Amino acid sequence: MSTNVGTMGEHQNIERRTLIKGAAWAAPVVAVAAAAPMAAASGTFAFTDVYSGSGLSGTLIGAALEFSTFFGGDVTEGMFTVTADGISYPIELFWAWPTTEGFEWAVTFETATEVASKTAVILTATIPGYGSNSIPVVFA
Amino acid sequence: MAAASESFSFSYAGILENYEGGTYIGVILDFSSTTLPTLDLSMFTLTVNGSPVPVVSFNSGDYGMTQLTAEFITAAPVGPGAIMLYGTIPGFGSNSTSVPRA
Repeated sequence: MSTNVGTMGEHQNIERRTLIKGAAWAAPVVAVAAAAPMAAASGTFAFTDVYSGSGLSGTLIGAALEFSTFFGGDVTEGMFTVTADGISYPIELFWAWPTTEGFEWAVTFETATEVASKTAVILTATIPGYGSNSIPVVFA
Repeated sequence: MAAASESFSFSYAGILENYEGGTYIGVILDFSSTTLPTLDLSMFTLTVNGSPVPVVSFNSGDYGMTQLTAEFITAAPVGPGAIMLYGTIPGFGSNSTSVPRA
């Protein structure tokens, strides 16, 4: 099973609650924060390849990501969604590794059950500072 | 750690010869104990025609009460020849399996 989704979701919830609570009485602080480049765009990214096949539990979906500028963070499961016919598809396993440090990453997903070969699957990534992108998964 | 008398075997090996710029190999390991080890890449050696093959990505997960998965992606597609996977797991001994070509 993957390991980082729950932790990331909890962290996001805490930050959101803190922001809402602070905004009610600390308008000047919010104004200062708005002027700061808190989530300034650092660049863009693109899917350069996508792979698929049968894994041990379900369907393997792999992709290669290329960043336009140096990416110093980690690529994590929470950045991705796998949808099939508009419905989010559960991911059993996720792993990612840099193939060119700071500029290219490879990611692999394994779904909990086999995806029907005719199903239209879309892989979407949203990476803070780098925007969003999607790629259709074509089964071999 | 499991007692030294415990053992493991490979019960399945699958391959995608062209995946993520390399080759994907997935195996299921059967253990004689329900006390399962934590697998890592250092416990395995992948060879083609006897020569070690570099692995860039490894993952392991639960598969059943006495089973674990191990998945490997090699740095480049493996060349022609016999693919063998060797495992040495502390407390469970050593074993190997032949990976059938696609």
